[in-house]
Amino acid sequence: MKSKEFLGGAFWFLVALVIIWQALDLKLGNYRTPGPGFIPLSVGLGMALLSLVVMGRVILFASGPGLTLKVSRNAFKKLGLVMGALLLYALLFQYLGFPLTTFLLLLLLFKGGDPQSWLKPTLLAGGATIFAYFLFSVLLSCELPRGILGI
Amino acid sequence: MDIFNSLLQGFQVLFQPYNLFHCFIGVFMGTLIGVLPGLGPTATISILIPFTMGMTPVAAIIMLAGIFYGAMYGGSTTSVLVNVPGEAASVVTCFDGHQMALQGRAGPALGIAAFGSFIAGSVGVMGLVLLSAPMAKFALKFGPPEYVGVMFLGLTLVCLLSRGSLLKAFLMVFLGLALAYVGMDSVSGETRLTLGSFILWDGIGLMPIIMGLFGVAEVFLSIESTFSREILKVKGFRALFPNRQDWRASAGPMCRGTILGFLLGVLPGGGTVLSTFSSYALEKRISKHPERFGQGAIEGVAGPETANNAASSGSFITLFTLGIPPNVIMGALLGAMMIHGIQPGPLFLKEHPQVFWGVIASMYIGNVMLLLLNLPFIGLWVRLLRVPYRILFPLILLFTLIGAYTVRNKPFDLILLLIFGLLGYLMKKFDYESAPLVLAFLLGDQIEMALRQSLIIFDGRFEPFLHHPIAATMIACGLVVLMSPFLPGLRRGKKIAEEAAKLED
Repeated sequence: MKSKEFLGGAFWFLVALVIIWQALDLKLGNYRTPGPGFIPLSVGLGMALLSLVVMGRVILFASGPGLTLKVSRNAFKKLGLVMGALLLYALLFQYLGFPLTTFLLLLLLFKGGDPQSWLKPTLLAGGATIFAYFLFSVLLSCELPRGILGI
Repeated sequence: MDIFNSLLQGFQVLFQPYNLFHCFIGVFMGTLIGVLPGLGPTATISILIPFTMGMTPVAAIIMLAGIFYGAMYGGSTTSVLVNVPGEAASVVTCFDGHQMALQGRAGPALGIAAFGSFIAGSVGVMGLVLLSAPMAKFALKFGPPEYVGVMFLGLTLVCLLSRGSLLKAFLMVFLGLALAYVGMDSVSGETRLTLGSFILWDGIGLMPIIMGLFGVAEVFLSIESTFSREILKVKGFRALFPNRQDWRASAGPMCRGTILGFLLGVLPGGGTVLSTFSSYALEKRISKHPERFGQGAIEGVAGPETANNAASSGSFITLFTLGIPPNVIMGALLGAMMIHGIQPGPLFLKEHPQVFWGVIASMYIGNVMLLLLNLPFIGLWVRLLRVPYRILFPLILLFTLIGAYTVRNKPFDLILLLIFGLLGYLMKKFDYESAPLVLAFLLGDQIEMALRQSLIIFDGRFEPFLHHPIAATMIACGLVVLMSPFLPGLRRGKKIAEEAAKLED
């Protein structure tokens, strides 16, 4: 069962179960006066059925490729770094503020685990942060959190 | 004459310096993202929507529309010179365009792509002008059953024309619908599918979904692959002009590409990518020397490049007159219009004539600007290709993050953006398409409203749908699509779409 198809189908089946569970908490109404839960329940049931068919095809016809995501070790490391940096940005954005979190994010991404000095990424991150601050906060008047630096 | 007066009004709106400036910005950015691989028009439009909040609705829509058809021009540059499509609809141009460049004929390839795009764009806009008013009048006859029919057909067509199995595409449609129902029900005021969390009471925003699935996921996929690019040279401005023989060979493909592209653009589920592949397939089929295709046949550039621009114009018809986005890019534009308080549909022309005719006028002038931007400044665009992706992607991600945050000023939208970015990345790996999900999400509320109203009108029965000819026809066509795995003609169409999607990767 270690095929991409089967695992994908199983994942969506679980999601469908959650949708059905949540929809059953609502008023369903009937065909004449559909309630707020009517369509979501139908959607959940449809999704559950289709995901069962996806899984069933794998079981019955042994179809689908094995579970390999075709990602090299190096690429996996890079992706992990980028996703981790983005997650930290999202969590710290409100507290540290836009300029500081942006600088730290860009520094991490420009540095990117490559064997190069810190100077170039620092200068790039600093320049890009200043440009972004000017563009978003000053020119476009976007309301961005000031955080601990208060700017 | 009425159309002529309305168009004049549109030009009056466009030639206000503020709007003209934004038209230029839109086509410039469209060319830029068309040239640079890794960021397509959907992601760019969705990233920029929050930043248009300070603009007038007319200027915002003009700019965002410019990004869409501008990207169709820019994409051909990288396809010809680097053999890498700048955006998905330019994949086909790589086949023959790059071969022409290798034969020292990069100039005519780029020239015919630019001129073809201009001609198709101009003709497409004329089609938009002539057909919009009659379609809007026709759409006024639509009631809830007709909207159910149209949206059902649209979603089934999107599934048919996306990559991979129809089954998985429909799974994504259901997921998109479910995501649309998170939050407060507009009829009863009850909160739904919120998992008990008050954070989800406001529902899931469109921006994190689109920007995550198309922007962030695309960056993740691009980070994985590293490729070295050899950028071929263009001999100079004069070399960009095709000779008489080139024009003679390209005339037929351009005409056919314009008509085919326009029709496929109007069709829900169609769009620029399908139009280019269909045009290429058509030209190869009717050519007296099909063996030349793939070896530098100018017809292989002229037809598809014309088709994608015609499709971009045609797409606006379905969005503006029916309020239904025929493809994901129009879906992003629909999001922008809704944020600016403009509801496209049959009443759009009546209620917002300035926006409607202003956007149409901007497409005429935008096409002229694009011709001027793409040919004389080809050297500038080529230089941009040399910027390493490791410098570009952090900036793309930053724009995406800020864009997602500024719509509702909610830190939770950043988390949602990452979730959908990761989801989009994994969906690609597991061969699930994002387009059906996004379109279903966009149409989810409308479908539910139309279906609920229809059931109330029909007293809970489905059989009266058959007594509404438009609804019955659309539903019947949708059912034919569902049967498509068993129909040879439609299987061929799906094969074309799958080839398009494979080469996007």
